[in-house]
Amino acid sequence: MVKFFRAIALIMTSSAILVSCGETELAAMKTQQIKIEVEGPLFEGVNTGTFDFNFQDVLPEGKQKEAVKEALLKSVKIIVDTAIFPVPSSFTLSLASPNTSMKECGFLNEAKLNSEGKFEIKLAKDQDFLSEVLQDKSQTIVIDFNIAEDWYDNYSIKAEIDWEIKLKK
Amino acid sequence: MKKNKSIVFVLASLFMLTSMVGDTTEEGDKLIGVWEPSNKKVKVKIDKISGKYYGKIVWLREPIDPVTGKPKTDKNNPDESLKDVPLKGFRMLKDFVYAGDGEWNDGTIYDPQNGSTYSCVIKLKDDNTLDIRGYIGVKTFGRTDVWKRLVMKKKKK
Repeated sequence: MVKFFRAIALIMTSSAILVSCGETELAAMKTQQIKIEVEGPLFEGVNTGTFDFNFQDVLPEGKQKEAVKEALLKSVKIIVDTAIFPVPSSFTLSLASPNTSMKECGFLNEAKLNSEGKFEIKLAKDQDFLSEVLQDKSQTIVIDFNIAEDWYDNYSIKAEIDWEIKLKK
Repeated sequence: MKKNKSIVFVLASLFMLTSMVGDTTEEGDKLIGVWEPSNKKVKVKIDKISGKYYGKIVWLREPIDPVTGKPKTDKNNPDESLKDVPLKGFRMLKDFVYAGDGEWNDGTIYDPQNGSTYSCVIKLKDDNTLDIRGYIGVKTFGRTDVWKRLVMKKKKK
């Protein structure tokens, strides 16, 4: 009798796993390109640039936010025209939304350009908080960057953000 | 005639509402600036992002970690992968909303010395003084610190 119930439990667990796996499909990686214009003057130290968007616009056409099962930041690269602007020594990347708390998503200390001439942000391993932020009505990307000298003009930053989005079928 | 009166009433109401919203924003923005806690170990710049108020560390009395010889990082962060986030620029005040009557609530304060985050309410005592109360659960069981605004000194002519 015990063996029978064990077998039933095993079958039910396996079915549940199969069903839950079957409910998710992996959308193609989406790259979001943003440009932030920080109004000058900027002072030596940490300055902030923000970009407001709606995660809905990042999703594949025809898909709604409610269909997102999971979204992860896979890579964030920051582009600064170092021939014009002071080179930042560090970056911190955060994400905020109207009804959630702002969270740090990544950073770069002793910032150095990679082989593509971009600053590659080290991303947080724990990104569980993203789902709640991305389901909100709007989102704000916050980039803090540390410069060693005052800059009296506007400052321009571009970023390439790669999202991995899992959608419910 | 009645129609004209209604239009005037609606316009007047709209005008009053707009000016009230403007006043609230202006009052709330009194929090914006650079502030110093009573221990004078850091200076915190408070600014507004998408309608909420945030405070980041812009100056540290001891910016270099004596152990590593490098700029201090958030080594007590509960997320292992964020322990190297630079403390200079770290947002220790987050998500404050102006509630009126010189008070901002719904926010949190982070203590980099122990990696803990507390609920927090900010009260403007006067234009250059804040009461910052951090607490867990109930406001009664908390601690209040007094922060002073850093005012730029005018150069003597």
